[in-house]
Amino acid sequence: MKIFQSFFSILLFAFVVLIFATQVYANLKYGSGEYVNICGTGLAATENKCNKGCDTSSGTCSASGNYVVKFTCNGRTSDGECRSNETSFSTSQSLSGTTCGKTVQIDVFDRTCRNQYGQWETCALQDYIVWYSGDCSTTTTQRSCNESCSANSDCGSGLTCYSGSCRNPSCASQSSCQCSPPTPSACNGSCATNSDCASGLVCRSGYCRNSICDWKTSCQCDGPTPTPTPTPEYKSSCDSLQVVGGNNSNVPSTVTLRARASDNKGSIQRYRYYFGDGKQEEITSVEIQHKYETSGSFLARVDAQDSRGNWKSSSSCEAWVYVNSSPVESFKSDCSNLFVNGGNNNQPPTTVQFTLTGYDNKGGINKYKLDFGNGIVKETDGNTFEQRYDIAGTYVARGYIRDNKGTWKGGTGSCSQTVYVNTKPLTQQPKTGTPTLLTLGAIGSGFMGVLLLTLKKRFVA
Amino acid sequence: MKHISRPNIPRFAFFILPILFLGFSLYWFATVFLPVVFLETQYQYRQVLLEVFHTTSLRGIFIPEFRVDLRGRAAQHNVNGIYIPKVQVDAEIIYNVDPNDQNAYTAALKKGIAHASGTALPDSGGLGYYFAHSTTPNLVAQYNAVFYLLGKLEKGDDVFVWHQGKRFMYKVTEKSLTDPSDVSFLQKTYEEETIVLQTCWPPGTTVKRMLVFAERVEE
Repeated sequence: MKIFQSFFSILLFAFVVLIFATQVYANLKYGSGEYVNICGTGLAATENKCNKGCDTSSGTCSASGNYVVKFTCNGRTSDGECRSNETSFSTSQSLSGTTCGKTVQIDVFDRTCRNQYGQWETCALQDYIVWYSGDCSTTTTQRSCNESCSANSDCGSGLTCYSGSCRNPSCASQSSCQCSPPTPSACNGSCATNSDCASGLVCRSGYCRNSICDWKTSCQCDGPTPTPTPTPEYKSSCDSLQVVGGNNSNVPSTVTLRARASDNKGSIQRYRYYFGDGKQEEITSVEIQHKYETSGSFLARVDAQDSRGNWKSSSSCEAWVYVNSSPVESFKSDCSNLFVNGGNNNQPPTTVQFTLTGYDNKGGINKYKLDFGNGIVKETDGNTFEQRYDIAGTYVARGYIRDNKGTWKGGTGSCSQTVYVNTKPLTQQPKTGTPTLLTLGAIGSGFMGVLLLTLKKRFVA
Repeated sequence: MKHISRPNIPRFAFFILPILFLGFSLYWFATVFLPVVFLETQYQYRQVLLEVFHTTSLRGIFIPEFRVDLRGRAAQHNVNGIYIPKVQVDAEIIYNVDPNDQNAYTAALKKGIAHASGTALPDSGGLGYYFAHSTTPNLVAQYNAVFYLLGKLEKGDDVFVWHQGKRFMYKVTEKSLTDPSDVSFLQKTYEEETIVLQTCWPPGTTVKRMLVFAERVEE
């Protein structure tokens, strides 16, 4: 009897544990599916601990700007992530309306990651949800457009089964199920009304023609010569710098940096990497590895040399590198680089922008100071400076950082830069001699004086 | 006997005018010609001592001389200055002088050698542009022909420049004569840090410009 009671107790305990574990560790549900990855709890997907815009109960993610993007993948992805079928960035995205058998990932970033050229720029992921909508075989919901079917009843509302796929009966041959309107007729094509013709054409006597010269079958009217398409302006830029490996690892840390730059009329020749620890390197490839021997936060930067030999940089081409400290590491701090970002080589008045970088592995930098070379010195908590120069000249700007021990460091080498405030372009070299006329005059007057004295003897008794 | 009075014109022409003409000529002679003659004589004398007797002074002909190459360290203007041993130029440099402003650079040239604003300072790469008089009628004794001997410099000669107490060494690479309007050398890109020393040529005129280029060398 006791054996039976013990066995029953163990069985009961196991059942309670199982129920508890199921309650605690089960993936969060939404709609017909379940979350497979959530910010904060990862693949356990039990709750959203990030709370930076995603709501698991409503299946939506939103942000104050166009920072939200949705990806949709077929089937259940093995790694709990999905990076296919990217939508454009918007303020909000939702899981609703997703058909069965899909994995949907919605990400919230700190900014719009795609630039105007469609390139992915450096941005930080704030929140995300990854949700699997459930297997189609186990769901009773009807199938959506272009999914396989065997009967009309398998397909969702408004769809019929056509050659084994759910399609729109109005245009069953189109896999998108979006019945597109008939293609408008091009020049001289047949038409019944103006709406049957392509843009810029009207229907005349059953044919699409140019309204200005509707008798011409070519639709080309004589008129002013069309202006040629202007050649696109030369444009080059440094677009981004990413830390693609080794970030946040322990000192000594080998970090991989990757730059992206563009040149619309050639290719980028070289990349000059500044690692933020006072070292720099120039290479031709976009990716570089650098070993940081000191821990701390380093502002790395890259300048790209375009096909015309100009060095380009921007704030997008800066990235922070974090190297974790080691308990046995000694105190190290220094000024790394002073950059002149803009306003150099202009005529006065010009405002010049500077960025100063440095490091301190035991507490960080607590002040930045810049001597602009024109008698003005500024001290701030931030590492960027601006200074207006009103007088043409050549100025040596010197940057200093104050470490957490209160010592100012820098002012030389890479923390010193020359600022050129140009005069008007010189058209004539300065006159640094006796005027030629003066010399000729003096020699001539000498001769004249002697001549007059000679004549005096003859004419004056 | 009847007294015939002489007209005043010959008196002015034969007494006053010769004095004015000769006076003007003597002023030019004293302020332009003599300094040039003095510098030329001094240079030739030193060259004879160096090349014939291998010494720097007359005393050295009779008494053995221990010469130490101070590499410009004995120069007087070692805060902001220039020292060219071969032509004994030891003068102050006035940095950041506007080369477009004649009043500004005339004032600077009375003190020494002008560095053109907007061109490179020592230790910052690129081209630094320095100019000074070859001759001038100004009675500013020590500077009125500071760059007169610039034409004597040859490839490999030393030039020392001081900026804010720091010394930089250059070696002459090239010498050329240009028109005053030729400023193409300012638009070129210089891989090595370079200075260009400019003066007017021939002495006593502003007809041409002499340019001497020197490249930075590590000491």
